[in-house]
Amino acid sequence: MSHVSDGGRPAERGLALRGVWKLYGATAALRDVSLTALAGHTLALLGPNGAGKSTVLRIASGLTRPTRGTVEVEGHHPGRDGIRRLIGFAGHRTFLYGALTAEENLRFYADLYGIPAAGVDAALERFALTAVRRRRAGELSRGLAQRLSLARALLHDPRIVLLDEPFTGLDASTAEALGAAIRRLREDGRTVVLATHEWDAAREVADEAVVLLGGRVALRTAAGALARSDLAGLYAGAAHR
Amino acid sequence: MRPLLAILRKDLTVEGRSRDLIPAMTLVALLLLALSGSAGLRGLDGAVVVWLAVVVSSALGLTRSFAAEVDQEQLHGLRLAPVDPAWIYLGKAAANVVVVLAVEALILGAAVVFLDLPLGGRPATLAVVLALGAAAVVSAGTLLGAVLAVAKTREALMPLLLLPLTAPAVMAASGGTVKLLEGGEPVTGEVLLLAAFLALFIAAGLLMFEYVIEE
Repeated sequence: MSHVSDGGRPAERGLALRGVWKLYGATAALRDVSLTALAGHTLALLGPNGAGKSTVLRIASGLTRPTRGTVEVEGHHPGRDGIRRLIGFAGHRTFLYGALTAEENLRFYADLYGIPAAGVDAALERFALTAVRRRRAGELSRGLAQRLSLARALLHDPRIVLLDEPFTGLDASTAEALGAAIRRLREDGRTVVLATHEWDAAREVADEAVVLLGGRVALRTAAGALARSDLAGLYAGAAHR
Repeated sequence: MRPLLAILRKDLTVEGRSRDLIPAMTLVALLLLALSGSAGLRGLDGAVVVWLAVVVSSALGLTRSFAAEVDQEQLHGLRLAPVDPAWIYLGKAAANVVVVLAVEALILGAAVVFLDLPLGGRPATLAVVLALGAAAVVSAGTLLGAVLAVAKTREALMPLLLLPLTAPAVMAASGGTVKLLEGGEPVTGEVLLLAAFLALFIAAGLLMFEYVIEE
Protein backbone atom coordinates (compact mmCIF):
# COMPACT_ATOMS: atom_id res chain seq x y z
CA MET A 1 0.00 0.00 0.00
CA SER A 2 1.48 3.34 -1.02
CA HIS A 3 0.74 6.51 0.90
CA VAL A 4 1.65 8.82 -1.97
CA SER A 5 0.01 9.75 -5.25
CA ASP A 6 1.43 8.48 -8.51
CA GLY A 7 2.48 11.99 -9.52
CA GLY A 8 0.06 12.05 -12.42
CA ARG A 9 1.93 9.86 -14.85
CA PRO A 10 1.24 10.47 -18.56
CA ALA A 11 -2.17 9.22 -19.69
CA GLU A 12 -2.73 9.85 -23.37
CA ARG A 13 -5.68 7.48 -23.14
CA GLY A 14 -7.45 8.29 -19.94
CA LEU A 15 -7.50 11.09 -17.44
CA ALA A 16 -4.63 12.83 -15.65
CA LEU A 17 -4.58 15.56 -13.02
CA ARG A 18 -1.21 17.09 -12.28
CA GLY A 19 -0.53 19.32 -9.29
CA VAL A 20 -4.13 20.50 -9.13
CA TRP A 21 -5.14 23.06 -6.53
CA LYS A 22 -8.60 24.49 -6.10
CA LEU A 23 -9.06 27.49 -3.85
CA TYR A 24 -12.39 29.02 -2.85
CA GLY A 25 -11.26 32.30 -1.37
CA ALA A 26 -8.84 31.35 1.39
CA THR A 27 -10.15 27.78 1.60
CA ALA A 28 -8.29 25.08 -0.32
CA ALA A 29 -10.65 22.39 -1.58
CA LEU A 30 -7.81 20.59 -3.34
CA ARG A 31 -4.10 20.75 -2.53
CA ASP A 32 -1.61 19.58 -5.12
CA VAL A 33 -3.67 16.61 -6.29
CA SER A 34 -2.07 14.42 -8.92
CA LEU A 35 -3.69 11.25 -10.13
CA THR A 36 -4.15 9.21 -13.26
CA ALA A 37 -6.98 7.00 -14.44
CA LEU A 38 -6.10 4.85 -17.42
CA ALA A 39 -8.34 3.60 -20.19
CA GLY A 40 -9.96 0.28 -19.31
CA HIS A 41 -9.61 0.96 -15.59
CA THR A 42 -11.95 2.06 -12.86
CA LEU A 43 -10.63 4.42 -10.21
CA ALA A 44 -12.56 4.95 -6.99
CA LEU A 45 -12.19 8.27 -5.18
CA LEU A 46 -12.79 7.87 -1.46
CA GLY A 47 -12.75 10.22 1.48
CA PRO A 48 -14.97 11.76 4.13
CA ASN A 49 -17.37 14.60 3.35
CA GLY A 50 -15.49 17.69 2.19
CA ALA A 51 -12.37 15.74 1.22
CA GLY A 52 -12.52 17.05 -2.36
CA LYS A 53 -13.91 14.06 -4.27
CA SER A 54 -16.66 15.97 -6.09
CA THR A 55 -14.28 18.84 -6.80
CA VAL A 56 -11.89 16.44 -8.52
CA LEU A 57 -14.72 15.20 -10.74
CA ARG A 58 -15.96 18.68 -11.55
CA ILE A 59 -12.47 19.79 -12.50
CA ALA A 60 -11.90 16.63 -14.55
CA SER A 61 -15.16 17.24 -16.43
CA GLY A 62 -14.30 20.86 -17.19
CA LEU A 63 -17.20 22.21 -15.14
CA THR A 64 -14.78 23.91 -12.75
CA ARG A 65 -11.36 25.34 -13.54
CA PRO A 66 -8.46 24.44 -11.29
CA THR A 67 -6.78 27.35 -9.53
CA ARG A 68 -3.43 25.77 -10.32
CA GLY A 69 -2.27 22.62 -12.08
CA THR A 70 -3.31 20.88 -15.28
CA VAL A 71 -5.93 18.38 -16.37
CA GLU A 72 -5.69 16.19 -19.42
CA VAL A 73 -8.47 14.16 -20.96
CA GLU A 74 -7.12 11.76 -23.56
CA GLY A 75 -4.16 14.13 -23.79
CA HIS A 76 -6.27 17.30 -24.18
CA HIS A 77 -7.65 20.07 -21.98
CA PRO A 78 -11.23 19.19 -20.90
CA GLY A 79 -12.76 22.62 -21.53
CA ARG A 80 -12.40 22.46 -25.30
CA ASP A 81 -15.58 21.85 -27.30
CA GLY A 82 -14.35 18.73 -29.07
CA ILE A 83 -13.16 17.19 -25.82
CA ARG A 84 -16.50 17.59 -24.04
CA ARG A 85 -17.87 14.84 -26.23
CA LEU A 86 -15.33 12.47 -24.67
CA ILE A 87 -16.66 13.04 -21.14
CA GLY A 88 -19.77 11.60 -19.53
CA PHE A 89 -20.61 12.98 -16.11
CA ALA A 90 -23.31 11.84 -13.70
CA GLY A 91 -23.31 14.11 -10.68
CA HIS A 92 -25.04 14.30 -7.30
CA ARG A 93 -28.06 15.70 -9.12
CA THR A 94 -29.55 14.07 -12.19
CA PHE A 95 -29.37 16.99 -14.71
CA LEU A 96 -32.88 15.84 -15.72
CA TYR A 97 -36.02 17.94 -16.25
CA GLY A 98 -38.80 16.68 -14.01
CA ALA A 99 -41.59 17.80 -16.36
CA LEU A 100 -40.13 15.89 -19.32
CA THR A 101 -40.54 12.15 -19.78
CA ALA A 102 -37.56 9.82 -19.59
CA GLU A 103 -37.52 9.63 -23.38
CA GLU A 104 -37.85 13.40 -23.85
CA ASN A 105 -34.97 14.03 -21.46
CA LEU A 106 -32.71 11.69 -23.42
CA ARG A 107 -33.94 13.10 -26.73
CA PHE A 108 -33.11 16.62 -25.55
CA TYR A 109 -29.56 15.69 -24.62
CA ALA A 110 -29.27 13.61 -27.82
CA ASP A 111 -30.16 16.74 -29.81
CA LEU A 112 -27.42 18.68 -28.04
CA TYR A 113 -24.89 15.98 -28.87
CA GLY A 114 -26.20 15.43 -32.42
CA ILE A 115 -27.22 11.83 -31.71
CA PRO A 116 -29.99 10.27 -33.86
CA ALA A 117 -33.27 9.04 -32.33
CA ALA A 118 -32.11 5.42 -32.56
CA GLY A 119 -29.45 6.27 -29.95
CA VAL A 120 -32.16 7.25 -27.50
CA ASP A 121 -34.03 3.98 -28.03
CA ALA A 122 -30.80 2.05 -27.56
CA ALA A 123 -30.00 3.90 -24.32
CA LEU A 124 -33.50 3.26 -22.94
CA GLU A 125 -33.14 -0.41 -23.73
CA ARG A 126 -29.59 -0.66 -22.39
CA PHE A 127 -30.62 0.72 -19.01
CA ALA A 128 -33.93 -1.17 -18.89
CA LEU A 129 -35.93 2.05 -19.04
CA THR A 130 -38.16 1.21 -22.00
CA ALA A 131 -41.14 0.50 -19.75
CA VAL A 132 -40.93 3.96 -18.16
CA ARG A 133 -39.96 5.92 -21.28
CA ARG A 134 -43.21 7.93 -21.18
CA ARG A 135 -43.12 8.62 -17.45
CA ARG A 136 -41.98 12.02 -16.32
CA ALA A 137 -38.51 12.12 -14.77
CA GLY A 138 -39.92 13.90 -11.72
CA GLU A 139 -42.18 10.92 -11.01
CA LEU A 140 -39.45 8.28 -11.18
CA SER A 141 -38.09 6.53 -8.08
CA ARG A 142 -34.57 7.39 -6.94
CA GLY A 143 -33.22 4.20 -8.52
CA LEU A 144 -34.92 4.78 -11.87
CA ALA A 145 -33.88 8.42 -11.92
CA GLN A 146 -30.30 7.33 -11.20
CA ARG A 147 -30.46 4.88 -14.10
CA LEU A 148 -31.87 7.57 -16.38
CA SER A 149 -29.13 9.94 -15.25
CA LEU A 150 -26.54 7.31 -16.11
CA ALA A 151 -28.21 6.70 -19.48
CA ARG A 152 -27.98 10.46 -20.11
CA ALA A 153 -24.32 10.57 -19.12
CA LEU A 154 -23.45 7.64 -21.40
CA LEU A 155 -25.76 8.56 -24.29
CA HIS A 156 -22.91 9.88 -26.43
CA ASP A 157 -20.64 6.90 -25.70
CA PRO A 158 -17.97 8.91 -23.83
CA ARG A 159 -14.45 7.59 -23.33
CA ILE A 160 -14.16 9.08 -19.84
CA VAL A 161 -16.99 8.39 -17.40
CA LEU A 162 -17.17 10.40 -14.17
CA LEU A 163 -19.69 9.27 -11.55
CA ASP A 164 -20.36 11.16 -8.32
CA GLU A 165 -21.88 8.97 -5.60
CA PRO A 166 -23.53 6.61 -8.09
CA PHE A 167 -24.51 4.01 -5.46
CA THR A 168 -26.15 6.40 -3.00
CA GLY A 169 -29.80 5.64 -2.32
CA LEU A 170 -29.96 2.58 -4.56
CA ASP A 171 -31.46 -0.73 -3.48
CA ALA A 172 -29.33 -3.86 -3.71
CA SER A 173 -30.56 -5.00 -7.13
CA THR A 174 -30.21 -1.54 -8.70
CA ALA A 175 -26.72 -1.19 -7.21
CA GLU A 176 -25.85 -4.59 -8.67
CA ALA A 177 -27.14 -3.50 -12.11
CA LEU A 178 -25.09 -0.30 -11.85
CA GLY A 179 -22.03 -2.33 -10.91
CA ALA A 180 -22.56 -4.51 -13.99
CA ALA A 181 -22.87 -1.40 -16.18
CA ILE A 182 -19.59 -0.04 -14.79
CA ARG A 183 -17.85 -3.36 -15.42
CA ARG A 184 -19.09 -3.29 -19.03
CA LEU A 185 -17.65 0.20 -19.46
CA ARG A 186 -14.30 -0.99 -18.19
CA GLU A 187 -14.37 -3.99 -20.54
CA ASP A 188 -15.16 -1.59 -23.41
CA GLY A 189 -11.92 0.26 -22.64
CA ARG A 190 -13.56 3.28 -21.01
CA THR A 191 -11.95 5.18 -18.16
CA VAL A 192 -14.25 5.24 -15.15
CA VAL A 193 -13.71 7.48 -12.13
CA LEU A 194 -16.26 7.27 -9.36
CA ALA A 195 -16.45 9.23 -6.14
CA THR A 196 -18.20 7.28 -3.43
CA HIS A 197 -18.81 6.63 0.24
CA GLU A 198 -20.14 3.15 -0.58
CA TRP A 199 -16.85 1.32 -0.57
CA ASP A 200 -18.38 -2.16 -0.34
CA ALA A 201 -20.23 -1.62 -3.63
CA ALA A 202 -17.44 0.34 -5.32
CA ARG A 203 -14.76 -2.18 -4.41
CA GLU A 204 -16.53 -4.78 -6.59
CA VAL A 205 -15.97 -2.65 -9.70
CA ALA A 206 -12.83 -0.60 -8.95
CA ASP A 207 -9.29 -1.46 -9.97
CA GLU A 208 -7.67 1.24 -7.89
CA ALA A 209 -8.66 3.49 -5.03
CA VAL A 210 -7.46 6.96 -4.14
CA VAL A 211 -8.26 8.27 -0.68
CA LEU A 212 -8.52 12.05 -0.34
CA LEU A 213 -8.19 13.67 3.05
CA GLY A 214 -8.48 17.42 3.46
CA GLY A 215 -8.06 17.98 -0.28
CA ARG A 216 -4.86 15.94 -0.54
CA VAL A 217 -4.19 12.47 -1.90
CA ALA A 218 -3.51 10.48 1.26
CA LEU A 219 -3.40 7.02 -0.25
CA ARG A 220 -3.38 5.30 -3.59
CA THR A 221 -3.73 1.55 -3.68
CA ALA A 222 -5.14 -1.43 -5.53
CA ALA A 223 -8.84 -1.70 -4.73
CA GLY A 224 -8.51 -5.26 -3.49
CA ALA A 225 -5.92 -4.21 -0.92
CA LEU A 226 -8.15 -1.66 0.81
CA ALA A 227 -10.48 -2.87 3.52
CA ARG A 228 -13.30 -0.88 5.09
CA SER A 229 -11.36 -0.99 8.39
CA ASP A 230 -8.37 0.68 6.65
CA LEU A 231 -10.64 3.48 5.54
CA ALA A 232 -12.11 3.92 9.00
CA GLY A 233 -8.58 4.16 10.40
CA LEU A 234 -7.54 6.76 7.82
CA TYR A 235 -10.65 8.87 8.40
CA ALA A 236 -10.26 8.68 12.17
CA GLY A 237 -6.60 9.65 11.91
CA ALA A 238 -7.46 12.64 9.74
CA ALA A 239 -10.21 13.72 12.14
CA HIS A 240 -7.78 13.73 15.07
CA ARG A 241 -5.15 15.73 13.20
CA MET B 1 -29.12 26.21 -34.79
CA ARG B 2 -29.83 22.64 -33.57
CA PRO B 3 -29.11 23.42 -29.88
CA LEU B 4 -31.24 26.57 -30.08
CA LEU B 5 -34.22 24.60 -31.37
CA ALA B 6 -33.65 21.81 -28.81
CA ILE B 7 -33.63 24.28 -25.91
CA LEU B 8 -36.61 26.21 -27.29
CA ARG B 9 -38.64 23.01 -27.69
CA LYS B 10 -37.59 21.75 -24.26
CA ASP B 11 -38.44 25.00 -22.46
CA LEU B 12 -41.83 25.33 -24.12
CA THR B 13 -42.67 21.69 -23.38
CA VAL B 14 -41.67 22.16 -19.74
CA GLU B 15 -43.76 25.34 -19.49
CA GLY B 16 -46.71 23.68 -21.26
CA ARG B 17 -46.72 20.98 -18.58
CA SER B 18 -45.63 22.77 -15.43
CA ARG B 19 -47.39 26.08 -16.19
CA ASP B 20 -44.82 27.62 -13.94
CA LEU B 21 -44.38 30.94 -15.74
CA ILE B 22 -47.38 32.17 -17.73
CA PRO B 23 -50.08 31.96 -15.02
CA ALA B 24 -47.90 33.72 -12.40
CA MET B 25 -46.75 36.37 -14.88
CA THR B 26 -50.30 36.98 -16.09
CA LEU B 27 -51.65 37.25 -12.56
CA VAL B 28 -49.10 39.91 -11.62
CA ALA B 29 -49.82 41.84 -14.82
CA LEU B 30 -53.60 41.64 -14.39
CA LEU B 31 -53.33 42.91 -10.81
CA LEU B 32 -51.31 45.89 -12.01
CA LEU B 33 -53.81 46.67 -14.78
CA ALA B 34 -56.83 46.22 -12.51
CA LEU B 35 -55.31 48.49 -9.84
CA SER B 36 -54.50 51.14 -12.46
CA GLY B 37 -58.01 50.87 -13.87
CA SER B 38 -59.61 51.18 -10.44
CA ALA B 39 -57.50 54.31 -9.84
CA GLY B 40 -59.16 55.91 -12.85
CA LEU B 41 -56.38 55.54 -15.41
CA ARG B 42 -57.92 55.34 -18.87
CA GLY B 43 -57.15 55.58 -22.57
CA LEU B 44 -53.69 56.30 -23.95
CA ASP B 45 -52.12 56.60 -20.49
CA GLY B 46 -52.82 52.89 -20.26
CA ALA B 47 -50.02 52.24 -22.76
CA VAL B 48 -47.48 53.11 -20.05
CA VAL B 49 -49.15 50.70 -17.63
CA VAL B 50 -49.09 48.00 -20.32
CA TRP B 51 -45.31 48.30 -20.58
CA LEU B 52 -44.90 48.44 -16.82
CA ALA B 53 -46.93 45.23 -16.61
CA VAL B 54 -44.78 43.64 -19.35
CA VAL B 55 -41.52 44.46 -17.55
CA VAL B 56 -42.70 43.49 -14.05
CA SER B 57 -44.22 40.19 -15.21
CA SER B 58 -41.13 39.50 -17.34
CA ALA B 59 -38.89 40.01 -14.31
CA LEU B 60 -40.86 37.31 -12.52
CA GLY B 61 -40.82 34.92 -15.46
CA LEU B 62 -37.18 35.43 -16.39
CA THR B 63 -36.08 34.70 -12.82
CA ARG B 64 -37.97 31.42 -12.83
CA SER B 65 -36.80 30.48 -16.30
CA PHE B 66 -33.21 29.96 -15.15
CA ALA B 67 -34.19 28.68 -11.73
CA ALA B 68 -35.53 25.66 -13.64
CA GLU B 69 -31.97 24.98 -14.80
CA VAL B 70 -30.47 24.68 -11.33
CA ASP B 71 -32.68 22.46 -9.15
CA GLN B 72 -31.13 19.31 -10.65
CA GLU B 73 -28.05 21.16 -11.90
CA GLN B 74 -29.39 20.94 -15.46
CA LEU B 75 -27.21 23.92 -16.36
CA HIS B 76 -24.19 21.65 -15.82
CA GLY B 77 -25.71 19.23 -18.31
CA LEU B 78 -25.95 22.07 -20.82
CA ARG B 79 -22.40 23.23 -20.09
CA LEU B 80 -20.99 19.74 -20.56
CA ALA B 81 -22.59 19.38 -23.98
CA PRO B 82 -20.38 20.16 -27.00
CA VAL B 83 -22.39 23.29 -27.72
CA ASP B 84 -21.28 26.91 -28.00
CA PRO B 85 -22.71 28.67 -24.89
CA ALA B 86 -24.06 31.38 -27.24
CA TRP B 87 -26.59 28.83 -28.54
CA ILE B 88 -27.72 28.10 -24.99
CA TYR B 89 -28.30 31.82 -24.44
CA LEU B 90 -30.18 32.17 -27.73
CA GLY B 91 -32.28 29.07 -27.03
CA LYS B 92 -33.25 30.28 -23.56
CA ALA B 93 -33.94 33.78 -24.88
CA ALA B 94 -36.07 32.45 -27.76
CA ALA B 95 -38.22 30.43 -25.35
CA ASN B 96 -38.54 33.43 -23.04
CA VAL B 97 -39.60 35.65 -25.95
CA VAL B 98 -42.41 33.21 -26.82
CA VAL B 99 -43.59 33.20 -23.19
CA VAL B 100 -43.41 37.00 -22.81
CA LEU B 101 -45.20 37.56 -26.15
CA ALA B 102 -48.00 35.24 -24.99
CA VAL B 103 -48.31 37.18 -21.73
CA GLU B 104 -48.08 40.47 -23.63
CA ALA B 105 -51.08 39.46 -25.76
CA LEU B 106 -53.06 38.71 -22.59
CA ILE B 107 -51.96 42.04 -21.10
CA LEU B 108 -53.15 43.93 -24.20
CA GLY B 109 -56.52 42.23 -24.05
CA ALA B 110 -56.83 43.00 -20.36
CA ALA B 111 -55.77 46.61 -20.96
CA VAL B 112 -58.67 47.05 -23.37
CA VAL B 113 -61.03 45.78 -20.65
CA PHE B 114 -59.57 47.51 -17.57
CA LEU B 115 -58.14 50.69 -19.10
CA ASP B 116 -60.22 51.22 -22.26
CA LEU B 117 -57.00 51.10 -24.25
CA PRO B 118 -57.94 52.11 -27.81
CA LEU B 119 -56.46 49.45 -30.09
CA GLY B 120 -56.54 50.39 -33.73
CA GLY B 121 -54.66 52.56 -36.15
CA ARG B 122 -51.65 50.60 -37.37
CA PRO B 123 -51.80 47.06 -35.93
CA ALA B 124 -48.83 45.73 -37.91
CA THR B 125 -46.52 48.49 -36.69
CA LEU B 126 -47.92 48.11 -33.17
CA ALA B 127 -47.08 44.41 -33.33
CA VAL B 128 -43.50 45.27 -34.38
CA VAL B 129 -43.08 47.70 -31.45
CA LEU B 130 -44.56 45.20 -29.00
CA ALA B 131 -42.36 42.38 -30.31
CA LEU B 132 -39.17 44.48 -30.35
CA GLY B 133 -39.86 45.79 -26.84
CA ALA B 134 -40.52 42.30 -25.49
CA ALA B 135 -37.41 40.93 -27.22
CA ALA B 136 -35.26 43.74 -25.78
CA VAL B 137 -36.52 43.11 -22.24
CA VAL B 138 -36.06 39.36 -22.64
CA SER B 139 -32.58 39.51 -24.18
CA ALA B 140 -31.32 41.56 -21.22
CA GLY B 141 -33.36 39.56 -18.70
CA THR B 142 -32.14 36.19 -19.94
CA LEU B 143 -28.55 37.20 -19.26
CA LEU B 144 -29.53 38.56 -15.83
CA GLY B 145 -31.47 35.36 -15.13
CA ALA B 146 -28.30 33.36 -15.72
CA VAL B 147 -26.29 35.71 -13.48
CA LEU B 148 -28.87 35.39 -10.69
CA ALA B 149 -29.66 31.69 -11.18
CA VAL B 150 -27.83 30.59 -8.06
CA ALA B 151 -28.53 33.72 -5.97
CA LYS B 152 -30.84 33.12 -3.01
CA THR B 153 -32.40 36.57 -3.42
CA ARG B 154 -32.87 36.33 -7.20
CA GLU B 155 -36.60 37.19 -7.04
CA ALA B 156 -35.77 40.47 -5.33
CA LEU B 157 -32.69 41.25 -7.41
CA MET B 158 -34.13 40.65 -10.88
CA PRO B 159 -36.56 43.62 -10.97
CA LEU B 160 -33.96 45.83 -9.30
CA LEU B 161 -31.53 45.11 -12.13
CA LEU B 162 -33.90 44.59 -15.05
CA LEU B 163 -35.97 47.75 -14.65
CA PRO B 164 -33.10 50.27 -14.82
CA LEU B 165 -31.20 48.26 -17.45
CA THR B 166 -34.14 48.13 -19.83
CA ALA B 167 -35.65 51.52 -18.94
CA PRO B 168 -34.47 53.29 -22.14
CA ALA B 169 -35.84 50.50 -24.33
CA VAL B 170 -39.11 50.38 -22.39
CA MET B 171 -39.48 54.17 -22.68
CA ALA B 172 -38.99 53.92 -26.44
CA ALA B 173 -41.52 51.08 -26.64
CA SER B 174 -43.99 52.94 -24.46
CA GLY B 175 -43.59 56.19 -26.45
CA GLY B 176 -43.98 54.32 -29.72
CA THR B 177 -47.09 52.53 -28.45
CA VAL B 178 -48.74 55.82 -27.41
CA LYS B 179 -48.02 57.38 -30.82
CA LEU B 180 -49.42 54.35 -32.63
CA LEU B 181 -52.57 54.29 -30.53
CA GLU B 182 -53.04 58.00 -31.21
CA GLY B 183 -52.76 57.09 -34.88
CA GLY B 184 -50.68 60.10 -35.81
CA GLU B 185 -46.89 60.51 -35.79
CA PRO B 186 -44.52 57.99 -37.36
CA VAL B 187 -42.58 55.76 -34.94
CA THR B 188 -39.47 55.15 -37.06
CA GLY B 189 -37.23 56.65 -34.37
CA GLU B 190 -38.68 54.45 -31.64
CA VAL B 191 -38.45 51.32 -33.80
CA LEU B 192 -34.81 52.04 -34.66
CA LEU B 193 -34.00 52.75 -31.01
CA LEU B 194 -35.66 49.48 -29.95
CA ALA B 195 -33.78 47.57 -32.65
CA ALA B 196 -30.50 49.16 -31.47
CA PHE B 197 -31.17 48.20 -27.82
CA LEU B 198 -32.14 44.69 -28.88
CA ALA B 199 -28.92 44.30 -30.88
CA LEU B 200 -26.90 45.67 -27.93
CA PHE B 201 -28.49 43.33 -25.39
CA ILE B 202 -28.14 40.30 -27.67
CA ALA B 203 -24.49 41.14 -28.38
CA ALA B 204 -23.85 41.45 -24.62
CA GLY B 205 -25.57 38.10 -24.07
CA LEU B 206 -23.57 36.34 -26.77
CA LEU B 207 -20.28 37.75 -25.49
CA MET B 208 -20.85 37.34 -21.76
CA PHE B 209 -23.01 34.25 -21.37
CA GLU B 210 -20.09 31.81 -21.41
CA TYR B 211 -18.46 33.61 -18.47
CA VAL B 212 -21.75 34.09 -16.64
CA ILE B 213 -22.52 30.37 -16.49
CA GLU B 214 -18.98 29.37 -15.61
CA GLU B 215 -18.35 28.39 -11.99
